[in-house]
Amino acid sequence: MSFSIEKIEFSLPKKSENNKFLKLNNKKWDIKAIENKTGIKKRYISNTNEDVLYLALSSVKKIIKKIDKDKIDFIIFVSQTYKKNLTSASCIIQEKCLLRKKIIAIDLNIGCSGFIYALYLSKLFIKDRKSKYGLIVCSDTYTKNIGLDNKSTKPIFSDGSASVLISKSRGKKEFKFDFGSDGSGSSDLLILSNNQKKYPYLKKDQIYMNGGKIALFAMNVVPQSIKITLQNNKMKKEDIDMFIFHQASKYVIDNLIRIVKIPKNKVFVNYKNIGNTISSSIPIALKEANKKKMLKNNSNIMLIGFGVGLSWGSTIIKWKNLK
Amino acid sequence: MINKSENDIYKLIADILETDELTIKKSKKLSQIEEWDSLNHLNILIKLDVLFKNKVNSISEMGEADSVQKIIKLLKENKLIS
Repeated sequence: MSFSIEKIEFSLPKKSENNKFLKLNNKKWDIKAIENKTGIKKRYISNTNEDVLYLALSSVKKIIKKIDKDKIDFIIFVSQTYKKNLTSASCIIQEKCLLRKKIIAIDLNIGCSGFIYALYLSKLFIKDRKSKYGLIVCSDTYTKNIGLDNKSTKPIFSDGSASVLISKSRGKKEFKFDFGSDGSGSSDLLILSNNQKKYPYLKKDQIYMNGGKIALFAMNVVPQSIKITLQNNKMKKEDIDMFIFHQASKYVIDNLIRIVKIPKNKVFVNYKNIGNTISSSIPIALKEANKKKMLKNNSNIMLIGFGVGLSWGSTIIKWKNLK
Repeated sequence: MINKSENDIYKLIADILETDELTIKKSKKLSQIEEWDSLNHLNILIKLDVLFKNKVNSISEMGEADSVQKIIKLLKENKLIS
């Protein structure tokens, strides 16, 4: 017994901005050079009313419109920018979407690898609780913590939410996962809790990212994680029909392609017009790849998440065309 | 070991930062060079990784190296240059 991805829906803020906007606020920035490196031309920026929960509810409501809500047995909410003090967002989603009360509702504070962790928990719930359906809801609004002049983060991050309906599937191969964590890199990507002398150009509550260290970390751990996941599943690179990486940036993904030595046509990317949406980036990429008919029914898709923590995870799924 | 010298490293960094090798050699910190920014720093690290055939990405201290002297020291410690 394993799981399938049944449906994916996503919600982005109303406002988007292109790179001309960056130039308006940063006259000295070489926009073309930035665009060549990040590969990102457009980002979505949430307004004051569009918080993490607003975007999450918007993507969940699209998913539950056409299904029997009473069959949903768990909600896994993935976010790092949900700011309610005590109540978990997954409980609020249960109430606002009128889901049944006999449901597991948990929040995961994980960034760009969060979707992979949520998939793993889904697999466990389906196996142990005989759940038929479950929801993974990813939502983040990093841009609320990014200054207009932050060259490491402003050209990259975007806000958004993706909801994924997971279902039990019989007779399908049960794929194994690989995970890793390295807290020694926790200061390489974080929200500053106060004005720190080390980063005089950043204010309290702003995101700091050591882009170089994060890129090196990805280039070091991701190829190993891919190798381990392939070995654990007794598969070869050639058995994978499509690789979907966390949509970090062109720089990072191009270098992973170089190191792992995979053909470019086996890697789907969509950072260009959406940006890096943290844990939502893999489900949004899956939805868009499906829409573009780039994922064939029954094909093997490798999913790889990595980022803040530092944290990473990878697995393989058997693709079923989305409803 | 890949046959590269300190001078090759100065040249690589000078090319990325669009300056001459002497400026790179004399600089105490890369951030003092006008063309340096976080994206060019990333570019330096990736070009080094390509040059040394994926051996730089596992040197975690490299991400903190803020001067050419520190970069060269790390490359030497990891026996990538002599």
